[in-house]
Amino acid sequence: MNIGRKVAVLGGNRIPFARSDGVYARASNQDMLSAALDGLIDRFDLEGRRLGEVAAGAVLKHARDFNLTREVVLGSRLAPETPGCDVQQACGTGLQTAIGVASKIALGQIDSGVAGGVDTTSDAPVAVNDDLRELLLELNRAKSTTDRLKLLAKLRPGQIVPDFPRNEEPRTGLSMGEHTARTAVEWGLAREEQDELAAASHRNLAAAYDRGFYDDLMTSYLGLDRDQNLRPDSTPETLAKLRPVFGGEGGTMTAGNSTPLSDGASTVLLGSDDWAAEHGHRVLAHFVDAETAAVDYVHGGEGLLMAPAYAIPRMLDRVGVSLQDFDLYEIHEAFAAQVLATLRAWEDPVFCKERLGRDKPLGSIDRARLNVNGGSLAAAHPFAATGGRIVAGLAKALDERGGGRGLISICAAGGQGVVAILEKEKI
Amino acid sequence: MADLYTQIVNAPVGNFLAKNVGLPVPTPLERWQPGSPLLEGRALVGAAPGGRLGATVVSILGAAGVNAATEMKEDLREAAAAADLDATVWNSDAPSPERFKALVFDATGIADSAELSELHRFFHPAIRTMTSNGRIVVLGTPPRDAGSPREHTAQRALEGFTRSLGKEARGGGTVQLVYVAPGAEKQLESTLRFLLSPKSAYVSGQVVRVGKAAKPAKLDWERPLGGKVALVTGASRGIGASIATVLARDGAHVVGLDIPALGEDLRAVTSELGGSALEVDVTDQDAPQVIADHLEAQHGGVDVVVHNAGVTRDKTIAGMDEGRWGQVLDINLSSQERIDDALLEGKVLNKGGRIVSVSSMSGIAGNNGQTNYATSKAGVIGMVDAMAPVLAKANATINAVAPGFIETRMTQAMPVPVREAGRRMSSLSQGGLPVDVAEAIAWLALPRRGWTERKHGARLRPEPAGGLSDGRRQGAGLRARVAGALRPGSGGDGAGRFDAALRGRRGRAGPRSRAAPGRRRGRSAGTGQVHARVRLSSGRHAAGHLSARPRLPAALGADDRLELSLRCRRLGAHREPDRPAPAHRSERAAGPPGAGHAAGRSPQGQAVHAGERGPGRRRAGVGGLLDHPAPRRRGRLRVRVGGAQESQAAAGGERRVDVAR
Repeated sequence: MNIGRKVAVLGGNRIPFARSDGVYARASNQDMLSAALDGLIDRFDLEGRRLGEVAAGAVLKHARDFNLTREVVLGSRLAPETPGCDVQQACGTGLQTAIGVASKIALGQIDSGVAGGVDTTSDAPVAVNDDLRELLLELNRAKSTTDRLKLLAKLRPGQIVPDFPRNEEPRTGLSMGEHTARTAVEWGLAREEQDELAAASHRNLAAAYDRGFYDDLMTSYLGLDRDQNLRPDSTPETLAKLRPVFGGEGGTMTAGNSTPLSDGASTVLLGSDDWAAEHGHRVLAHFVDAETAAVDYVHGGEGLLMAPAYAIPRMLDRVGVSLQDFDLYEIHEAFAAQVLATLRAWEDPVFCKERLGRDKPLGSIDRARLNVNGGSLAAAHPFAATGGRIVAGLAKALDERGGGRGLISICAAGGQGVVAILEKEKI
Repeated sequence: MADLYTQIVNAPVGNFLAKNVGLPVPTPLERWQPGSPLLEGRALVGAAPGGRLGATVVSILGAAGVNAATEMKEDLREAAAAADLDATVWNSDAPSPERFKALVFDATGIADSAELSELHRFFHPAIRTMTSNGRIVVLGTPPRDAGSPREHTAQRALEGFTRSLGKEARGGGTVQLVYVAPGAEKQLESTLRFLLSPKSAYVSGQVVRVGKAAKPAKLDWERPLGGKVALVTGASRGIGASIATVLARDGAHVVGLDIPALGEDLRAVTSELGGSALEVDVTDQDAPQVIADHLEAQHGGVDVVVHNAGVTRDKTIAGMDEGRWGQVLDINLSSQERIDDALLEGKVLNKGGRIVSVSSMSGIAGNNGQTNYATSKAGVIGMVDAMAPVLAKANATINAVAPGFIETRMTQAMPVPVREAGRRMSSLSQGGLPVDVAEAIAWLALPRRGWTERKHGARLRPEPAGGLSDGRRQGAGLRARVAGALRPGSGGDGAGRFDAALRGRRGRAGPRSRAAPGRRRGRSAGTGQVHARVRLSSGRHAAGHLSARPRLPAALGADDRLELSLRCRRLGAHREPDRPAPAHRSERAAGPPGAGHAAGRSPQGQAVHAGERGPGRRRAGVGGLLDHPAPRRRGRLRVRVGGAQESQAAAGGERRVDVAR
């Protein structure tokens, strides 16, 4: 970080991501996060060690998961004196936990920490209908039997219907896909380019697996070795056959160029340079800087997932680099349309002038450097687990190249976006 | 208020019947009210690659506060950012479902017929987005200003597109083609504003030419004629009253003129507008003088003169007596000439003055029973053509508006079937209103408009007679012969724009080719090898190659002298005689139809391909320069601007041509 001491990314571990209601249907958040953390502990010999902090989170959480990360730590082989905390920022959770741990390391409050996230959409928290819930609470408060009987008389059949979690923004009632469909129309994004991005994601992920890139970034779980959503033979032609799922009849967004609902967990190990040297861990990259931005998608007319477009320029100005000064880019592919709209916004003089207040557009990036080892469209996207996947993967990729600078950009529901820079000095 | 038929077929039952029977259903046209925005809706700006007007259009829309979207082209987006126009993006491959009120397409980048596909690429998805009463404007380069024959061809083709689209446009939409001369970008604003606004509701399928003018003034778009004095003849009723109203709305002090018998109506109109009335019969002998004196004395001159007064006396020629003929011609045409003469002679027309005359579709296309009327109205067009250069000397312009079917007392008097037919035959399927004519006139009266050629006069074509007289042969083996046609532009505010088109032929080599007697006349034509340099006496100069005419900068003074020096280089082998240079463009062929071909001259621009043998006919160039038997290496053609006569220099191989402006 630009204040304090340098923060090193030492590695990570995740479990393969599975499609919803599939292989991981019965695995809880705790189970999956524990599996990821155990793999990390094994790989880096952290057994019995007291780390500075473990920060993680889940977006879809049960009420019983109120201390999710701490419970996971207690169930792991780390020293039980390791604190744990939960963070929630929708899809930005994973990166936000990394920012939190990195900041504490930079300030010298801790020497090492684990950041991560987990999510399941199969093992969803089902709530009791709100009216029934209030009735039950009243019952609990009632003192006499007659009072209780009176309350029970208020029970209605309609209250028995449970409350499933809905994938929609509370204030607009639209899902992320529907919001992004509007963004796609606004930016004039064609179906072909979205399908091409999706096909490239699958292609790159398959290639990375084939050359063993993920061998020390992943442990198997419940019989899966690879991300279940990966389709190595995806091409733009096969993706073109899918029907649109968002944006109505003429929509350009399909199941192929949108991320599916999925389950999984990831963790990343961070530490100071000294701590890493002390324990014999190789520094893959340094965590340089980060930024979080939010947009008013409710009234302000900006797209729901366009916040990274605002966060990146702020961060770049502070660090003093331009958008082109990066060797690798990791842009979370919530939807192919979201990635393309963000890239187009950075190239557009009107957006950069009117929204960002800049004289010149940020410019375009080299697409050959984008998501080179696969992206969320191929790997799938358990909401809070993506941040850890990207940070660990990018750090290793930079190390593999012998150095360089990488940009991370993750959009999140609620109109927020988290971005970060990793850097490894060139040898 | 729309006519009865339009009202009926737009009401529920009538609408159902008309659509099922196949009758036309005209859309009620929106017209401009003071306080309305320029465009009630969004505009979409597109461009063909390589265009030069995208940025201009975007900045005009930005200044006018129009909500716009642009295609995802870098120059358009940058111009939008620079103009602080928060324009959204539009992709013709993935068009968004939003609706647009106006489409503006910059077609100046189309340089080849294959590139005309850009029109289809843009309009095929975009036309479906148009709301009712939409506006479409296509911008191009005047064909004669094109840089190559291919570009000329492609730019000329735009007119077919816009005229057809004008007939296709539904919902009262209008389509226009605007040819913007290179360097005239600043003059586009007033035209574009007019064509996008509801003021141009009854203008469609037209071609407007915008040329350069010097010193464009800043206009107050709410009251662009503020401080100006306007004379409107026939102002007591009908179109004239409407013209007076609109000019007064735009800020002018209107002097209404009509015959004493209609004095009461006239005063009613003018007093409501805060103008003044002048009761004169324009056919009187002393009317021109009376008018000139009145304007000079009461108002210190006049800025805008609108010749609207006109009558019909319909009869077939067999049944028409002398009185019917004479009256119509006198009122509609001759009186205008006399009045204009008086105003010019007495210098009553102020600098920057505007004369607009009302012609008619009848004058363009003719009409049964209107031999007198159509003659007079066609004469008005001729008057405008002819007087343009004269007025240009007085720093004024003259233009004409030819209305189609306008709902007035005159047309209400027509028999019903004829009237209905007349109404339905326009692309908008309805008659226009007097205010539509008035708005067009008000646009032509704007001070800043610059030179527009469409309704303007023809261009002068001084024909330098004779040629470069020196018969010296050059020993170095290079010869050339030069022919030139100089056409001055009649700039509205005293600015000139000269297009010097030079045709040349490369001569043979000198001594070497003496050995080939049969090829005495063997001159090969070349292009691109002849360099022409034009120098003004003020020291400025312009230079260009033969196939691209040199363009002269900025304004020319009355005493400017042009000196054209031409140098040629020999290229390659001889070619057959009398073959015109393939890349030459003929100014004549591109000029107004019928205006350029002098008697006895073979038309230029014939498609004679290189490789063909011409019929051995001597190619008589302009002014017979090419007739000259002996070529020379360097020619000098001196042209003086400002004089009225042609004159010929005697010796030294110099030609001096004085051309009027």
